[in-house]
Amino acid sequence: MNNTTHVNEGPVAAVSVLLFVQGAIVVSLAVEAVVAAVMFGGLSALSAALTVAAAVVTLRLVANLPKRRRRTRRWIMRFQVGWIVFGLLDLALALGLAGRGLTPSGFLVRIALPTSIFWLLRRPSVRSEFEDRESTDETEPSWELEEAWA
Amino acid sequence: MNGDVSLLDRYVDSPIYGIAPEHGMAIVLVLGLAMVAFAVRFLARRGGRRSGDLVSRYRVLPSVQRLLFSLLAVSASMNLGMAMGRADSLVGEWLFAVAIAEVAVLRRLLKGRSWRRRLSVVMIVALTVSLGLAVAGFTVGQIGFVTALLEVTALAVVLRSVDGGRVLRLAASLTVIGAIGFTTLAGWGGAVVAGIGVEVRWRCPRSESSGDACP
Repeated sequence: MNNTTHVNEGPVAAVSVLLFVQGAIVVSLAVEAVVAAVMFGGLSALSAALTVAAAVVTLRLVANLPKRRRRTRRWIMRFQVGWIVFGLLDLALALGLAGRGLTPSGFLVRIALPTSIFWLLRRPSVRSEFEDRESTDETEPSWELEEAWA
Repeated sequence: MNGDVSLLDRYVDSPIYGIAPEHGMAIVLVLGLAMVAFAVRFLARRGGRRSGDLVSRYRVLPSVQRLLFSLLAVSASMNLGMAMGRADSLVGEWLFAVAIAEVAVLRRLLKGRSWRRRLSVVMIVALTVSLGLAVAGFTVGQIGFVTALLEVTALAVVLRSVDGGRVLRLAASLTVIGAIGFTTLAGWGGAVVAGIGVEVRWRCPRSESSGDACP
């Protein structure tokens, strides 16, 4: 097998991989938050509800990505900005209250991953793909969850 | 201090939230990798033959494979760095072997040879052993955790292009979610298993060597 394959491996495919990994991470966080809410109750229930909502939104965005709608691209970008803002807020709180920064995994998940997705979606070639195409590309491989969620 | 420590304290104080001293070399190697990347790019612009060849091979790769290239390069550097920190143990030898295997896949990717099956095998074996080590109480720390996340993302690149029926693609999607879940779970479990004792050893190695209780 060489590098040329029948599947679409352009920047949108890279976004699809990163967004799906982000969704999987948020699902894990949601499970963790629900367990914490069951064990400790109180405000942790609110945190769990927010995390579950974030997981649903992320998987929904992954599901809609192959349709290449401009609206989906905009929502993904807004969502990534939200992640970065929360990451920076978390960093500020960690620095202010505990006197230490984000952990490397926290930085990767809350800053580096959303910044990469945002940067890829801002590229002119990606933007043009979302402007030109309104329907699903049949040749593009997709996560099976996409069909269930779309 | 070790007398009445709750499960929550053991989790929060766990070394999973810190960088183990023996993993420091991994950070140095990742920074070194970034510098090498800049140097290769600079030399290619200046007309260097080997660096130019390397850059042109990289540039013909599709975006997904470029992403995979970066993931594997960083992951291999981190595994090598962690191996150097544990050079005298079997875990160090294992991490070194994983780093070599990742570099071998990277080479095949650049040369345009088949790499998907090999990458899947390397990632699945590496992740399974890493998770086993974490649950067995070996200190994963943040560097090990980040390496596992990079390896799961590399696995996701392969699984995304699974060619087959609905069931096969659903299995691929669930494998990615499961792999992330197990990585988190192993981190959590390993954090509790490793617990406060390892944290104390990190913070006051002198006290431990002299047998004193950590303040």
